[in-house]
Amino acid sequence: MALFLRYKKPGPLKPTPNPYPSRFQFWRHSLLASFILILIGGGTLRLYKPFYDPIQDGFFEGAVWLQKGFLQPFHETSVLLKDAHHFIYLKDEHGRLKLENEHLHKEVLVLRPLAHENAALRKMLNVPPVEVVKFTAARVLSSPYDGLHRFFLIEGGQKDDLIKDQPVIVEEGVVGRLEKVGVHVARVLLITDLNSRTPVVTSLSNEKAILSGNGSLLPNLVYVNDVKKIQIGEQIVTSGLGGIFPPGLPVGVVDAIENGKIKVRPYVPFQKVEWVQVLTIHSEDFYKEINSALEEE
Amino acid sequence: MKFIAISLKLLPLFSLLFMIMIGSSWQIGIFPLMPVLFLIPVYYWLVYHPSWLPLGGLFVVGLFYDSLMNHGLGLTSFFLMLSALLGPPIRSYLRPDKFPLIWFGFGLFSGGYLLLYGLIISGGFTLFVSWVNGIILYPLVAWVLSHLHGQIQKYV
Repeated sequence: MALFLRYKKPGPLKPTPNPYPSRFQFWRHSLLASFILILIGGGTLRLYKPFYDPIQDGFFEGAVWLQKGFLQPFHETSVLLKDAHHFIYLKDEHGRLKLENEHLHKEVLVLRPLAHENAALRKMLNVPPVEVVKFTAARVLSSPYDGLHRFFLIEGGQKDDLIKDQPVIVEEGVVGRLEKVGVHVARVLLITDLNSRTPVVTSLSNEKAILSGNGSLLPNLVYVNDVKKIQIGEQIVTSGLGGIFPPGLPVGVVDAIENGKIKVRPYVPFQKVEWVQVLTIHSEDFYKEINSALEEE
Repeated sequence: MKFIAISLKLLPLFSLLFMIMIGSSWQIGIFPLMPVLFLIPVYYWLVYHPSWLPLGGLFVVGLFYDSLMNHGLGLTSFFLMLSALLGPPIRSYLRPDKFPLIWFGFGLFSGGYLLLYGLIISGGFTLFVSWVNGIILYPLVAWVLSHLHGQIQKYV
């Protein structure tokens, strides 16, 4: 078979059944007419918010489920291959985990008296108790990226009590926050996304700033009081301002400072993340208040 | 038999959906392949068989892409429908037997599309690299699509 379809010379024109179509037939077959009709219809629906929002939510849910269904066989194959790989190195893995377990056991023995001491000191100083953080683990379904918008689609939504703006983390650090929550799926706005703004603080110079995503893998640090104080290699953690992220979560390190522009390299290897943890720190009402305040702005 | 023929005629639209679903997470290095990768089947079918890409179908595919990529619903639909509208007049300048000309045409089409896209969503260098990657990948994807085209034509 030929690589590409061969060009066929067009034959003589065949007579059409009706060489003078009616005006109705002309408009029925006209691309321009369909284009205008769809544009007017779509545009009207777009402006009517109570109608547009449920359609948008439905499309979001449907599109993610369709993609999930399509990618499922590829995912299963990948899991199978990984399992086979783990099975081969099972003995080595067992030895490594045994060592890690012993190490953690020793660490717990050291930390237990410190926790007791901490609780006693807190009581003496009348410090309010630390809020209990709840984790919800969710699988990453896919991570669409078109050069500017980079986010994760995760398996978890309103049925798992997830709410918009909850922070999302992995072992290495902050991933982002929930931007849209459907019934079964949710979208995570990553800290590298063009629309992402995360309040952070530098660990050594103690400068408060905003981590601003720009679509690349290295987001910028903006609104820094004194750029000269910032050092390359300095750790960046969440400041806790804004109320979405709790303070002290690792974000990344200062990678470069060029012409006053500070680039931060996030700790999270976004391309390798398969599972994320969604933190529940505040009540549902808190997130609703934040959302309404942001919408008013 | 008629049902099979209609189903086969829907394959071009499915090739678009397939590209979006499989390519949305793909990237070469740090540069994504979207949106230029799904423009390849759009261009291919608009050049070789525009009637298999109905305007309504493009509208739905656009909505799917927008939902997945977090754009305002209708942005991609508008671009795709505009492409379909501009397709027939431009098609007359292309000769299907001159592959370099078709390839060059794709460069222009995708370049124009990405320029509009970049202006609206303020894209930059990443989109440019994505465009170059798309042009390099065009012959490979077009080769697969031409085989699909041949098979559909055999049965329809």
